[in-house]
Amino acid sequence: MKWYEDKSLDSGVVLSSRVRLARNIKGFAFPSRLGDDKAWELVSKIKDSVINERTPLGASFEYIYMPSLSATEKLSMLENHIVSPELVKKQSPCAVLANEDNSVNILINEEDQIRIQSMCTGYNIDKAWEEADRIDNLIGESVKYAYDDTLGYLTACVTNVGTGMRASFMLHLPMLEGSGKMNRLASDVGKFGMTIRGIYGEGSKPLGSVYQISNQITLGKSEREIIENLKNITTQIIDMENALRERTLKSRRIDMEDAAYRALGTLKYCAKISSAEAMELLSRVRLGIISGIVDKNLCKTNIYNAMMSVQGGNLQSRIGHNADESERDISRAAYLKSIF
Amino acid sequence: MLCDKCKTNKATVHIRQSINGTVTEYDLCDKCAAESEMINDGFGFDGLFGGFLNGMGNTESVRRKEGSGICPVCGLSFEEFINGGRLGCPDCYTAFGDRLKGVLKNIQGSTLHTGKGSDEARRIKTEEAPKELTEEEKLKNELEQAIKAENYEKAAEIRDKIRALKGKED
Ligand SMILES: [Zn+2]
Ligand SMILES: [Zn+2]
Repeated sequence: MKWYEDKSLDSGVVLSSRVRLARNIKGFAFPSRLGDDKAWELVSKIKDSVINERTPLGASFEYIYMPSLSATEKLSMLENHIVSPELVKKQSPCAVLANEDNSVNILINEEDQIRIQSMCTGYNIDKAWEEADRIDNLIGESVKYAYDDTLGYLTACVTNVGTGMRASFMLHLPMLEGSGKMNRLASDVGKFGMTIRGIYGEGSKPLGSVYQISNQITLGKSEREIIENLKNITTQIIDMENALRERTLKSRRIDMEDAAYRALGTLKYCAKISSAEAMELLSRVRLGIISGIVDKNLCKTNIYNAMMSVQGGNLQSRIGHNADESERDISRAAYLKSIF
Repeated sequence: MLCDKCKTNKATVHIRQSINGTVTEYDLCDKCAAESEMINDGFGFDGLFGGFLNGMGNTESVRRKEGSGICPVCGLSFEEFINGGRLGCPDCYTAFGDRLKGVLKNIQGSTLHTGKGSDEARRIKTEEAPKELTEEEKLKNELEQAIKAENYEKAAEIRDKIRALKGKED
């Protein structure tokens, strides 16, 4: 089971917690100025630092050489938040080391030479940090990081220097979004050195009301301080979302029931559906589940996992050949029927 | 009009430089302007860096002349960094020195790392587990620091002190 397939996930506002550490090795240029030879050298150096006989941890990691994957496989990794768009586009040597449930991924030669990503379900940022920290120490045993006593970990972009850490929560905020409070929230959050943005879709309204909040500042604060700040702000957002939901449940329960069950009906019985519509309806069903309106056992997987699964690349992987849009819409409906 | 610098090519770029209120103007050809450090600071500050660096340049957006502006290790110039938003290698941080510190101050609000691996982190750690270091342990730490800083003269000095201390015990 992948980490995001865990059904206990569907319990509240926080979908997942994530910590990412950016690292580079002394004596090597950042990937954008690294020749293919050096890039290769790094891939094997970093691979060996994780997968080797000295550490039992290494056995759980799989080595994936990115340029050898098909476009569909790449897209699917992108949609599961394993790799970044940057790594998908790359032609020069780059790779991923992924553990069994994909909760820890080490990206090699992305914007930085090493990016350690650790993900947990729900509100579990401390665990995500501990995992990332552990992997960081492990790699640090066999390589010498580019580290400056004043500036900390040196990174390709100055927005990551210092701790090299980006800690984030994935949040489901249908009520705050629905009440038009997101812009205000984004500017408030910015004052505390954090940023909040939609995850899916490119239009003005993010699909599925899924947002990511993360620290913007990486220098001058310790990892612990950054995480505590993020937790404080996020807790307030969670409280706001919960309060809005409770209030609406009291005043307009029938509307919420109507929205959730209509969404469920469409998801279950439609014959073709776009990803935008599917995302919106999944969001409504999830809101229904959290509100105690919809029985969570009506869905065979957790909704966040379903949201990832209805994205184009993941569907394409399931279809197995290059499908056009209408074929994807049909296949998406079939998938939804299978889970509801 | 001919270029003020090489006096050969046709001048194509007009540069206005303001240093402490004194305005100096130049007309340069493309080649000299490119070679010169006095290229407009305001270009390319869009995208990722839009707004971040506004506090740095003055209204005339004129480049300050500091060092060579090119990283000796990877060859990236400060202009390229500003335009692309990415550094070329870890040594760029040293090569771009104070100008980069200015950028960091603007973006991060700080120029001192206090997280993992820093002295601050070590201090907190020792506070959590209060333990009196022996004279020898202190010296050993100092020795480690000196070697890290590649200050071998000092390292040798500390090493001798440790030896002397050990001699006393015998
Ligand atoms: Zn000239
Ligand atoms: Zn460099």
